[in-house]
Amino acid sequence: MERKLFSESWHRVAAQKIRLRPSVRVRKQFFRGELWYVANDLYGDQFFRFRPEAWDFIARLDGTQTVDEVWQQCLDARGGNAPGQTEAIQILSSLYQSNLIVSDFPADVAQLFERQKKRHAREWKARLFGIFFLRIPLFDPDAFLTRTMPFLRPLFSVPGVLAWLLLVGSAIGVVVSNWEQLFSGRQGVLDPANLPLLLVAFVIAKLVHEFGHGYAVKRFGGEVHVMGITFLVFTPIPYVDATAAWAFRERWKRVFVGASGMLVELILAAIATFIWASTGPGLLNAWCYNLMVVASVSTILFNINPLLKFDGYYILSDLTDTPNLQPRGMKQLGHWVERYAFGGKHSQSPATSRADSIWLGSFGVASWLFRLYITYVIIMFVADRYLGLGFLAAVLTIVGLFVIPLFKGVKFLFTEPRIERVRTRAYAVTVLTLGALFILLAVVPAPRYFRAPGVLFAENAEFLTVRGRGVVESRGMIGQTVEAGQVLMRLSNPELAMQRQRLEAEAAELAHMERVQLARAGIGADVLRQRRAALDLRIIELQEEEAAMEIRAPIGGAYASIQPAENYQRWLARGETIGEIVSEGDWLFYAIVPQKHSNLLFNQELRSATVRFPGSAGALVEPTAWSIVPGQQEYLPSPALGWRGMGPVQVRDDDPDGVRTVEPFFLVISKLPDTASVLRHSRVGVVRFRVANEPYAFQWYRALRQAVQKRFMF
Amino acid sequence: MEKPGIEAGMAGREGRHKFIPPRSEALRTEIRPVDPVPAGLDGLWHDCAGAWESRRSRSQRLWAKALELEALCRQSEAWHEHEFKEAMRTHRARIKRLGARWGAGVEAAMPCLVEAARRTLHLRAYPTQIMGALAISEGALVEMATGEGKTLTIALAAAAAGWSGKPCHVITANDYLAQRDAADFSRFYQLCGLGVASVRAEMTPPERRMTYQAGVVYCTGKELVADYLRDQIALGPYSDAHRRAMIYLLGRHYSGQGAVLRGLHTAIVDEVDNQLIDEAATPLIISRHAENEAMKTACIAADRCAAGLLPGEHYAVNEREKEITINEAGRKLIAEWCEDKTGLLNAQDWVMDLVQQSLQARHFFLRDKQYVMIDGKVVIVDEYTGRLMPGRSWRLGLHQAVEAKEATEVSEPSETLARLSFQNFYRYFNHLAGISGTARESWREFWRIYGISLVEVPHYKPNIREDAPLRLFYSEDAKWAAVVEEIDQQHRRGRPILVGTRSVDASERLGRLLQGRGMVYTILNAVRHEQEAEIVLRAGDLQTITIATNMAGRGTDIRLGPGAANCGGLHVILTEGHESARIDRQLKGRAARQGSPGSSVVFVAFSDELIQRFLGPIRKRMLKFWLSKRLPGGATLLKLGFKIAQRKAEKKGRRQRFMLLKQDQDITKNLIGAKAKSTARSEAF
Repeated sequence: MERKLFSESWHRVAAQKIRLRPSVRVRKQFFRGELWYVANDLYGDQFFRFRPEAWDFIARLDGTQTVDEVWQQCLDARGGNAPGQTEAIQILSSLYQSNLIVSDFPADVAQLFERQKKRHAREWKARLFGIFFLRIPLFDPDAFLTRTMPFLRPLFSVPGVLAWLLLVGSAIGVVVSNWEQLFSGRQGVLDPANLPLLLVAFVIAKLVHEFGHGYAVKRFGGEVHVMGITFLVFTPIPYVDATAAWAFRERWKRVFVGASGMLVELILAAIATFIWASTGPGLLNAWCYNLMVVASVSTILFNINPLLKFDGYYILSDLTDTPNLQPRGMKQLGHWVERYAFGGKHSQSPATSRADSIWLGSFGVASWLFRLYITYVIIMFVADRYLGLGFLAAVLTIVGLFVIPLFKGVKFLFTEPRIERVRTRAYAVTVLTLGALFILLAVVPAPRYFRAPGVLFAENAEFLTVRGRGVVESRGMIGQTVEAGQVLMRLSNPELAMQRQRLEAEAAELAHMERVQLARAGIGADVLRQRRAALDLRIIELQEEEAAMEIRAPIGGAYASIQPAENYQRWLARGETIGEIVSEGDWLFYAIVPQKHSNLLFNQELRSATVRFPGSAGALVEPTAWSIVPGQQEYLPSPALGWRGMGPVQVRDDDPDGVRTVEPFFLVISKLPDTASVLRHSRVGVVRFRVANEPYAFQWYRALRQAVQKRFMF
Repeated sequence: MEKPGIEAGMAGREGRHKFIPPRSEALRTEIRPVDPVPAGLDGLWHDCAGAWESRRSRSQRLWAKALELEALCRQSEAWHEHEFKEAMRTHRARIKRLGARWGAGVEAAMPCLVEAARRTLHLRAYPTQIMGALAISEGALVEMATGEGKTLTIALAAAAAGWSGKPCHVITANDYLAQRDAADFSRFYQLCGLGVASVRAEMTPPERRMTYQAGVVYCTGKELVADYLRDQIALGPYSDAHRRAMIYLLGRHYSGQGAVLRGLHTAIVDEVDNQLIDEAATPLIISRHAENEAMKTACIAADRCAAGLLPGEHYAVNEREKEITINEAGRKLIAEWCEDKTGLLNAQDWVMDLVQQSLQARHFFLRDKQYVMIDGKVVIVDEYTGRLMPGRSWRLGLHQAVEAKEATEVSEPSETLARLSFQNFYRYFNHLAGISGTARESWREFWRIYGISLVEVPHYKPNIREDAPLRLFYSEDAKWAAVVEEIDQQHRRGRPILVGTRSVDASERLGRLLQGRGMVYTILNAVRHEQEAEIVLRAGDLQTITIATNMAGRGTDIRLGPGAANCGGLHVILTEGHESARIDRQLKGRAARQGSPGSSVVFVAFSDELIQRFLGPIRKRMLKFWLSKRLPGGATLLKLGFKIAQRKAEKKGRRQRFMLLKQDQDITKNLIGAKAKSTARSEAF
């Protein structure tokens, strides 16, 4: 940066006698090994940090000498390191803006009011556009915290930390030893019946969390003056204002304050764990279970993410010694654009080194992308839940996140004096970028696909059904290729033979009796004959059944056995399926095309298709032909596709087979070549059809319209 | 009637302050809250409002009213003396009651005022003048052609403003005009029961205080702003009227020396575009010379250091933005240079700053263009009026750098005591109105910054000036040859000729060329300005050739000499386009005043500074290629290039002025002791 020794505005401050307000405390702090001075006004809750050179100038301002005299002294003492007049004015003006200095010259009261008014307006604007993160300050907890601090002080000490380790450690032990049980109760957490319990657990955990922050700040001598409620996507959560931690000199204290909420919550989780483990099933047990989950897993997952402004963000910015991480990250991005894309030479990087700038920039990108994503998620969620109100809030958020920055960007482009010299280039770069984007998205046709889940069937497949009854004798074969008529399995049923022998004996007896009757004038021989004929039939049956003890392959092909090992020595009843033989031949993939793609399905030519199967990444199978079954279907070809079969298609609750879908669909049957090794009968996969190319913008617009239609039923 | 307000209040030693009700004093001297210049969407809305305000129907309404009033005025000519006095008393009392809203009473009082002018000055106001006065009373930007009697128009409105009891200032282009107008109209004001006075540069503070007590004060903008700033310095922390009132109420007294102004309320600005636009590019600074030996030696040393740097190798020169960028090699050289120095010169950053300033002085501050040397002293030449500005100096360090460059004695650096941009100052007035022959082009800027909208007054006599089409040339030599040829031709016809040049240099060069042709001419420029009034007086005579650097804003009419009208009147030649089309028109407007004949022609060359500086590099190269290959359509393209360059220059100037205003406002907002409502009230320590 160019440093200017003289400023044309110097006369406005030169003769003033300025000093810091008595309520301002200044501390040394090291940020990334560099010395900074952090000033903090105890009344105004304002923070300001400056470099040692600037502090040298400020420290000399004692209210008895004029600014000009002080500046001369600095110049004499430090020469080139002293702030120039321009810098001195900047320092003074920032201090004045933060209400940290007083002058012998009367300050403009109207100006102060104006500033306050502006700040309020800004706060309201932030609230309005950040309505999903609405904060409402309620009361000042400082007195309460001070009074109760003595009771909790032992917690924030070395023995306290040891006790914490012990407690949390043993709780983890308990969790590990109850691992099985832990997961058996897993569904209980989301059970509607447990929701009120969950809510109570949640509120308690968050209160404990926030008081954790509060007490941590207190412990290190800070003050906590604001406590209130954040409405996080309309869900009330308590919060405390822990900004006092910024003034802590040691980094670990600041980090500790940031983490204290989670640490304290873990105590709660530990206690809940003990109670849960030592009680039998019941209300208390369930509640403790909820509390345990809320206060440990969910809070850590929620808070550790540094891309949103929760605990993790503050911990990260303290760990990396970059206060105001997120705004500086965005500023860094702006700097890059201004410096390298527009060629502006007056842009100032917020970073102190190259590594720092890369760090800030990448954080800026990550947090921005994540904010886009989270906003999308929130809006979709809210749109589902709270139709009218949510829609309004979503509009506000979109305005805050896109429209206002866009407006500011345009304003920057047209009026920013810093890029005055390079404005033509800035226009050109912007127009070219937008133009390139436009062409890429709205003009260049992009491949267009739609996907549909489906199930694979072999065209020639036969189930192997047991026709006899008996105990499995052979261990059977798995996955072998068999020929037609080959014996696959033997059953033994000695009873069968004995039964046959008994019937044969009976038949012999009847034959004998018949002969006797014939000898006695033949009365009643007819009856006997008929009985014998019946017996013979029965015997033939038994013989056939005996023959069926040898299970033979009806067709040639691959033999897939169901539970071959477990069947060994097991009794099989007639009609049981023990496997399937899949013969060589065509494969058919039955794709379930949802209604939203019906337009593409019927009005566009399906150019090509690929089928993939989960678990076989990279293995693509291209169908050779496909046909669309005209007419809507309601029954899935396989229950594996339905929700009950853990498949992707929603099925009706009242269908015990789990094949009747909620929404009608279209069936597309594609023929797959028998080349790939991934083809398995009944395997569930996804087919991707490619249709005529279309620019991305149109595709997205269609997708958005469909989403809106589906959600709002327009 | 006039109560000496501030003066009495502060002249406590005379014990008069007890009789002054503090509240009224506070109210009169109070500066109105200045709203920030609308920007963004507000600005757009504001612009729309401006377009509505400047609509034609408003001018038509005023014109119809003026015609009506003129008929009334004719009736009032028959008034008996006591009738006239009675009418005047009534209207005066009414306007006095209206106070700050005095404009509302002007229409009714107009016959009275016109009659007063007729009876004292024997001037019967034209309907155009009446219309102008009405527009002024509405607080408008009035466009009225030169020579149509702007002075009377102003006087009519100023008298009404004076009746309101609020301070009324008529801002003129220079001291001479202020004095002349005040003297010319003193009988008129006297009849109206008002005191009139004019401020001159050489007046002492007590004299000034007396002068400002008058009901209507004629002065230049510079004097008024300077007096205002000096008042602020004198009043110190008590510059705020309410604070002063509070001190009175507490019965205490403060050690202020006393202000000379009695408040700001109405300002009627003559040649308003010159005052509020051209002059507004630089702020007014009150400074004093302070001993600073270290500074002086540092500037001289930096100049030596700068002499060792080579353009292109050690630094880059940006002609368009007038900027110097020192590169790596230059930095290294300066760092080496600093090593064996002591004190301030050992600090590389500061030396760099000073060297940069020296380089700026070397490249952009040229002798006989930006300044002239008189008796070994650097005297600044005003870029717009071409006048010498003795006693003025550039910003801290720059002036010293120029002096060091000229190897003359380096003067003591001046220490700024107070600074105020004209833009901000004129925004303090409750009632601002301006009048000019060339206001139309910049009405948007006037509306945006000062909130005054345009009213175009029709010509009383139709304008018959013939504007010849642009004469275009590739090289400067060809252009000058054509200029001489043109002068020769017109001169043979006997017409008086006025040649406008942009620099002292150019005027002298043209002089030499004419001398070579054996023509007699007069030069009016920064160096030869002693007989200005006489030269101007004779510029309209037959066969007179006058070469003048920028005449705009001098407020002087060139009256045609006897017989000149028969030859075709005054012929104005512009040897270069100015950085604003408005100034070109102003200069052209010197010809054909009040329906007399006249003509004008503009000469433009590709090598003119305007095109070279403001046409973008790509356009410039293309144009150069086109012209050097003598391809068809070159003239059209050059004309287009000229227009573009001029528009760009205008835009740059506009931006600069906005920046200055914004800077002023930002500083006010950000620094302690500065006022939100009125920037300047805390200009002093």
